[in-house]
Amino acid sequence: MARLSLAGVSKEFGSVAAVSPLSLDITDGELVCLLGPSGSGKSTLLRMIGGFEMPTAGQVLIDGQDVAHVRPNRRPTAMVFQSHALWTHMNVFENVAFGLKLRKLPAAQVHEKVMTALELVGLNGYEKRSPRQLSGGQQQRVAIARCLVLEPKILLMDEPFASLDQHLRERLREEVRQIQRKLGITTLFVTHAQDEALALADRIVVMSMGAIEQVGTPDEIYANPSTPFVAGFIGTMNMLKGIAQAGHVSAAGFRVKADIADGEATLAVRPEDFVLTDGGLAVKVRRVVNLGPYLLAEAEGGDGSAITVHIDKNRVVREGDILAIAPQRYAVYREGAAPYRSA
Amino acid sequence: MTGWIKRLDWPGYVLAIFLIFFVLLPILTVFIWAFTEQWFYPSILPTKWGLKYWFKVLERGDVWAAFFTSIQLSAIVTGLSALICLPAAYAFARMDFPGKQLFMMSFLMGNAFPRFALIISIAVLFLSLNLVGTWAGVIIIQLLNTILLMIWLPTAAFQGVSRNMEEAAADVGATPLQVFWHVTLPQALPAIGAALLMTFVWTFYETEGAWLVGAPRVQTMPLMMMSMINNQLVVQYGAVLSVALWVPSLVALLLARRVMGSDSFAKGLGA
Repeated sequence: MARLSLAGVSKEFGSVAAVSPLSLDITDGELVCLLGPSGSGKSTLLRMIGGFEMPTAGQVLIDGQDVAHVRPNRRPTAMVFQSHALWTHMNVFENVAFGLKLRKLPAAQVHEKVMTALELVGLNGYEKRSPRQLSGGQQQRVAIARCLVLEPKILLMDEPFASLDQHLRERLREEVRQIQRKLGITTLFVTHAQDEALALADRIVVMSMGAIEQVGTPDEIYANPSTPFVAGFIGTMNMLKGIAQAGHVSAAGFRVKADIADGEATLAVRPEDFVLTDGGLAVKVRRVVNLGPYLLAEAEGGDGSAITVHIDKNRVVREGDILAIAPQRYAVYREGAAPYRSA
Repeated sequence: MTGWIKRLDWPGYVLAIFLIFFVLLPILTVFIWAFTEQWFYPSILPTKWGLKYWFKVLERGDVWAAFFTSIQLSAIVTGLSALICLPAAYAFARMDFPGKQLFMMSFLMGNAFPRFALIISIAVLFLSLNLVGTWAGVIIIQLLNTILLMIWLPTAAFQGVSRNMEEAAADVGATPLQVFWHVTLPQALPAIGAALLMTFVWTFYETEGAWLVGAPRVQTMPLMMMSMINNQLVVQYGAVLSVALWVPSLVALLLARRVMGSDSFAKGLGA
């Protein structure tokens, strides 16, 4: 358990800036998700915290101590890798015990700690198995136990569930959340799956092209994305290109109030934020998908733009129907200005 | 009838016939001769079977001396080769240095020349260094033969070790040396084992270098077999020695398969 601070940390590979100078504070016991598409710099940032990459500049502070240029074996961090990285020439017990043995702990203590860690991840009875005899989910649990047994100050997880199927991912992320809360361990979790980040994190750090786009709680990020990138990346968002003029924005046939400077702007509306109303814009339904709790209608706006709308499943909507819709809640983005948000 | 002919796997049959004629038949002939006491024309099979020539060959002191010479030479060459080549293979796999690719290719280029011509030119050099007819000379020439295998195979093996596995070891507190000893080496071991084994077997059967540099003073098992085939009128001597020479490689390969498993062995060979 510890506090992690990044101060002006950056990484360049030759002339390519993988991570632009950034700062971030993570409090004791917090679970923070680094979320972004491939190449956004999130894994490089995690590897700099773990000691596998040296920052070009900046400080990595763990409880106030700069470890930016300390080798991984001397850092109070532990990393769970996407590939599990279990040592296949050792059995489960030996994998988990390896770090403790390096610390020259007495055999009885090693045994006790390993068994406790395996019980924590639900793998008691598996200690003599080879990693090759385990399923992907079980392998990842061993990798987690291997980290937790060392009682690190910071737990780093690099897309740990990326290679697992959806059902297993959901189960494991709940288990990880429970273990993290139980131990109160400061955790940094890298993922490109927004549902994973939204379900797991205390705070989400959205990254793009080596820079932080937004930091906030899952609710904040989802409800109030601060940049068009975040708006487009988190959840489903209709990003409609338009023009701001005289306190209003016109886009895809909609005209809504927006207290923003004149010029090109983007009207952002979530599918669930449209309402069916008599005075709304008439759009033609191109496709209807039943998503269980609601219907998802893909419609065509006034200027031919594609618009996605959530509709109550009790309403009968078919391909070719005309719907009258209006945005009830929306945001307007304009380059160089703070976004406008409707009430 | 035509359909039946079409269904036949012709390339498979041709390959099978080719293998029988060029691989199995010569081996079978050698085996039959090794256990033949009398075989007169026009009989298809020997007229008298027996182990007479096995006893005659195995009671000769020079055969056993050559056998032990070959075993010792193979062990020394394999050991030295491991000592020199394995660190080099690790460097090729994990480090960056100028001329790395050129060095790697140079080992291959050495084997691209006709071996006999290469060994003759080395033998001429060895003559001036008084290395001809010495163990040191044979060891050096056989050592040179092993470099390609002992560098390329372990380099591929070290390259095949997951970086994440090594990083995970460092992450739990292992120093770079501990990472190598506890993770990299055990992970690469099956392939390194395959390379060591093949080096031993190749060295055991190496003939040209031992003949041009070692003979007549350093008498290895293949040289003994050559002299028996060339200088004896009785075919059985050469046949017995040929079959006997199979034993070490057969035992070694069976042992390797048992210890390492066929998949590891194939992995070591780049499969």
